Amino acid sequence: MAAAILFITACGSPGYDATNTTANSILIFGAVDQVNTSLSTQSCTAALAQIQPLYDSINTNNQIRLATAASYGCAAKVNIFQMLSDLSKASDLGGSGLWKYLVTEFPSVSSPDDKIPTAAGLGTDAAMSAVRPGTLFVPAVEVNASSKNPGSLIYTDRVGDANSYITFLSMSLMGSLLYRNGVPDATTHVKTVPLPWITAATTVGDGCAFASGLLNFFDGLGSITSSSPSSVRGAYQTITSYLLSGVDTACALGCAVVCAGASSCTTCPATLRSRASCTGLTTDVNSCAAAGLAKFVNSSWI
Amino acid sequence: MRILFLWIALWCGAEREVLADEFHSLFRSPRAQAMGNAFTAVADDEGAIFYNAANLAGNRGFGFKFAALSLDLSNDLISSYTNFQTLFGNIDISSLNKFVGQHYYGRGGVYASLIGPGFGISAIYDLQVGVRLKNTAFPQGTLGAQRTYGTQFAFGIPLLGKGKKKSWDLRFGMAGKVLWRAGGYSGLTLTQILTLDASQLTNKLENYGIGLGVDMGFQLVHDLSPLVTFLAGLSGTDLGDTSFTMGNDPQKSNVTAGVGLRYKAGDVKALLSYDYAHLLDSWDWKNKSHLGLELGFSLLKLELGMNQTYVSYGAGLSLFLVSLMYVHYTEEQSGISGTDPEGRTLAYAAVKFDL
Repeated sequence: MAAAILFITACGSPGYDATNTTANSILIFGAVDQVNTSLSTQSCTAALAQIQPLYDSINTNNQIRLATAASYGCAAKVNIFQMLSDLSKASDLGGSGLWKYLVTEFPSVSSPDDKIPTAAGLGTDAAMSAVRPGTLFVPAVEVNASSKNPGSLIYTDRVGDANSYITFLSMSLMGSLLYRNGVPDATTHVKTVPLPWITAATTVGDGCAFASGLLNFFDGLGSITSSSPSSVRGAYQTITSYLLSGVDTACALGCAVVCAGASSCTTCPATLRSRASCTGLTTDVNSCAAAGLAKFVNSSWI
Repeated sequence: MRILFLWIALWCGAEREVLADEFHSLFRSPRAQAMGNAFTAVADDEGAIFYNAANLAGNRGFGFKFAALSLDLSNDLISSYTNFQTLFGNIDISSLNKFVGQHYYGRGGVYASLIGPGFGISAIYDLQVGVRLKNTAFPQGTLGAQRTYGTQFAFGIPLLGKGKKKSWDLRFGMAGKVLWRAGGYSGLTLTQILTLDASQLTNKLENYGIGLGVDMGFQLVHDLSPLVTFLAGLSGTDLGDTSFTMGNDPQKSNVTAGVGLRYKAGDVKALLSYDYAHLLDSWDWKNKSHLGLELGFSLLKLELGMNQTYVSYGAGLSLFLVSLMYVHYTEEQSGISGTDPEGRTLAYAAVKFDL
């Protein structure tokens, strides 16, 4: 009997070894479990510490990428149940109400830096890398190409959960940047300072990040609307109609008016989904389109 | 012994299963749970039908239990039952946050069993429900609703002839089962969480599938002295998984090795046991480990154990025709020990008749 027990133990699978640098399935399942448990108590730092080694390893996969996105989402103050509840109660989402809602959800300060926009951006990177199996990366719309988690700016390349989550991360990115740069009134939540990113040169950095957030948010609205509870579906539809009528026009105006035709665009460029895509030159279509989007928000956030 | 090695060799070639969460066993003996689920080598009651059929070869008398009722609830469910109810009502979305990190689990069972010299038969009805939400940033969850009923027959025989040394015995046992099951456990997507309602639970419980399964086991018994016996067991339950028509959750196989010591003097009996479960599955080794101790007197049994890495304990009382038991134990819900423990309380009552 003892020999049999030894025999059967020897032919069993290798046990879990936490010191093994090569992840096995248990390590991956376990790390994701640990992240979910940490994020149940909003322990964002712990969650990131648990998932980061796997995210940066050759063992990374979509499960790990989405867990990483969720960990950054926690640091970006994404709380989906709360966000949806507030969204269902928000008004005038087809105009100024959208920007008011965003700054109310994501107040943010740069000194000391609460890192909300940074976390939202990094979370978006992680979610963008959760692509469908067999996706062919097009270099022009690929982000973090040299990393172990290359992402696609094309939303149809990504898995559905990633697109859904990017909408929430984008809300955090937009809301925190609007709060920092528009300095909303404490009562009316309307901007007291115009957004500064209204020329191609000023879009580098926050302006480009805001524009990328707006476009990624818009990309994901279609899929998340159909999978939302009825109480927020109407709110999403209102936002979709509003952005559908305004976003591409704003980008086209940015190219034609802000950059005086030095660059050409009739719709928002796919590459502007990357927050690092703006060069600040009037010949750069991304910078021009981003400036057009900032002007669009300035004109409606009143 | 050749049967034993042939059986092991077949199993070595089987595909390995990676266990990411709790193993949902077909039957939970309250005694076993109180002893940290270390029962393979030492099971000596109707639990042997399910834990290791070989142990039935050592049974001398008859025991009949009917109307055995078992209720197993997570501590979170006990402490916030009203919250659980509102989870399926019309509540504000933001209040879902208070359910994140909570474990709602309930399991109820009705059993009847008859054991005799070398055999046992049991009828079971089992209903379990589980709802678990995690992660406020990107909500995830598990929804379980499963109903199983059926019967299991088991026998155990001694393999060593009378000419062998009497202090040693090697026993072999098999069990066959026919089960009907509806439902199972599945992950909840964000969309499903946001649109959660009671119909998702009840819909799972509608379509029954039938499944046939086989268990097999060995028990080695060695009398160290007139009072002390060494026991070792090796058991495979639901060999190759017991699958169900209609695609309901299969009853997963589990190969467990265990050792134990039994002390018996008059009305006083003590059991010490250790099981290493899921030998062929990939799982944190601490999740596979079970340790138990039982002190038994004529009317009272007291148990203490370590289920995985968590303390378990229980007490049982036998009064004439009635058997009562209270158990507290904790079950790991993650692939890695210490990540996501779920505390539970189990109450058990049965009408029994022993000969």
